[in-house]
Amino acid sequence: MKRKSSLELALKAVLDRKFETMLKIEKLNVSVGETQILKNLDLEIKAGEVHAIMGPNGTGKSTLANTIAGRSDYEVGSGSISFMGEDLLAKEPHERAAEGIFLGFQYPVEIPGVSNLNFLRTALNSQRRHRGEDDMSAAEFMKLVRAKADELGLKPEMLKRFVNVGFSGGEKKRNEMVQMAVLNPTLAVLDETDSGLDIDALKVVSDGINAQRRDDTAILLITHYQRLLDYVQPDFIHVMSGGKIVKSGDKSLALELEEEGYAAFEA
Amino acid sequence: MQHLKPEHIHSLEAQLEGVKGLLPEADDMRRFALERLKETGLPNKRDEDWRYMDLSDVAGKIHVSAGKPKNMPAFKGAAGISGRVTYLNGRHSEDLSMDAGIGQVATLSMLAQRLASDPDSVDGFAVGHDGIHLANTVLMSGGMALTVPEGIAIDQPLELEHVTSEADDHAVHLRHAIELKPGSSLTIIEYFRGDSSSYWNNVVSQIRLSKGAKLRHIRIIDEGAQATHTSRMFVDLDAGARYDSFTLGMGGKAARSDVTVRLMGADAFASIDGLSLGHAGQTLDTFVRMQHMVPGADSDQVHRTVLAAQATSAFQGRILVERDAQQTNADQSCKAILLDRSAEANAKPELEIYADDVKCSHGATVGELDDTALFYMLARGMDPQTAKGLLIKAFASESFARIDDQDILDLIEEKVDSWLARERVDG
Repeated sequence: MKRKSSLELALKAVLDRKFETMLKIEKLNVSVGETQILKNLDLEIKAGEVHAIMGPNGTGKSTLANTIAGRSDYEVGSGSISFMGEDLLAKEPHERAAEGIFLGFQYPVEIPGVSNLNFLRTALNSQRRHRGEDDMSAAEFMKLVRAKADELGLKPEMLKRFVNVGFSGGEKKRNEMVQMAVLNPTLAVLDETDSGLDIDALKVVSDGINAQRRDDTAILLITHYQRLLDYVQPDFIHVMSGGKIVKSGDKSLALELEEEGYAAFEA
Repeated sequence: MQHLKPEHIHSLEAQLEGVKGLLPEADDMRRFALERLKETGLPNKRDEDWRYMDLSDVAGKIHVSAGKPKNMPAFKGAAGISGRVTYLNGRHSEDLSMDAGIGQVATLSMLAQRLASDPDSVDGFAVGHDGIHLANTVLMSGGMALTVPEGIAIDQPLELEHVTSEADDHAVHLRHAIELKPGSSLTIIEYFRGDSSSYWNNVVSQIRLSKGAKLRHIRIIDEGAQATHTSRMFVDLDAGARYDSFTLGMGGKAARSDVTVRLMGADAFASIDGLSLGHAGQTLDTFVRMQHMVPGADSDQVHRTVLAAQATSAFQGRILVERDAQQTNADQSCKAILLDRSAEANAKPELEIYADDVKCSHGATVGELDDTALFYMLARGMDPQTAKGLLIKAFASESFARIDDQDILDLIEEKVDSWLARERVDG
């Protein structure tokens, strides 16, 4: 048998990864307290794909995002989530992050007393340690974070301020994107990252998201508005209603939603 | 109030004979204090001011400590100080003390020498009303007498160390007298540390700041795990004087830090800040009495407490603004974080205001670490111990926000880090 050349092996590896399932959610049921929010939700995301989930408020979009990240208020009744072939639900939130999941918060949290730099450097190095890597040197870190902040239109002095304290809504979302760029996740789950952004901020944030698009990463966008999807073109759009996905399609689904509204898809 | 048992009174009288020779000029004062002590007894939990601290086993160790410990405690010398005064089991230690220049510009002596050269100065001593203070008066073995002359600014800090070792069931009673003459300034870093013996450290300090004098006072109370610590300070400020104090309370089985500040001149300012870090079984008590006696003086108190499981703390802060003390600004903020529901933080702010043109604010909160902030950090990859540590440090740092000296900040941060490392705060 002819031995494969290194080029062929490399190509095969890329092709394999491109079609590799990254996130597989099967029959997921999630409650908050007494209220069941997600009902038998199924979703599959492959490496290299960008998925968007749209739907009215209260359908469980944020619940899905927070469940993937591991927030303890959300109780998984039954169902499974596998990430990179492993049982995600068995892992703690910080393990999920270190193993490649990033949640862009709908309402980024303010943390008085902890600077953005300290927060991000500590997070990055905690992740690196979990993965058995050395800490990033202070100099390398500063260079990286300044570059990313610059790309996202955040002034350097803002990095010295306390996490999100005194930041406008748009600045908080940009800050989320800086964190994403530095932490470089495999799966980015972005919960209404576009809400409250003016056109300039939207373009900058979209550039940040598009910079995360690679063959070995995937992005799950949760959004209300069609606007974002003009800039970050998804491979798949899903409509959520009543705690599950009721319709899936390609990016043309967004236009359909725009014209007909969500009522057409209600469960 | 717990009355002294007859055997304790006998012991006291015997011990009194033993210490008389150390400060002969204070003899009458000691006798007077002893008679008063027989009447007042020692405070216990039924006394309002002492309701959070259990002193029931202190009476048994009221007598003075034995001599030098066999093993000299390890010492970490600090660079950049003007001098160090070390007390080992209540006695001044020549070996561990040093003069790095302060002796040339200030008068630094032992209390015994001070009283010998100026017997009338004993009149300025506070005899005490409660049993703890009275016991100190009866049995004080000495202390530091420091006077910084007019206009002298000493840049490098003076270290005042109290080390107690191999002192099971023994007590240390020390009395310090510090005076800063007009326009002078100094930083004092005071340490309390000890081994695991069950000793009682009882220190009374009297501080007088004349016009325009400035004293920065950093106190690290890190007594041994079985120790009881009671420290009482009286600070008097004249016009334009400034007293900035920060106390880190983290050691001992039961530790109480009690400060009475009297603002006696216009433009005087006192800040009494503190951080209490409590672990299982500990009681950390802070008592502040801020007395505004004349117009135009300001004060501030910022206190933060972090308690691990089964720890107890109490902060009692009294602001008294007398009738004449118009244009007073007095603030107080005490906050506590409980890392576990089995911890107990008590806060008792009190405002007694008799003047009508004043601004006084006070706030007291007891809570837990912010869950949302915590999840944000976990979701970014920080493990729970690291995440909680960051939040705790951020909270604690509010108590030393006034300090800008990097060496002192490093010292405090090192202590906080060592506490965090010992406490598994992610539990």
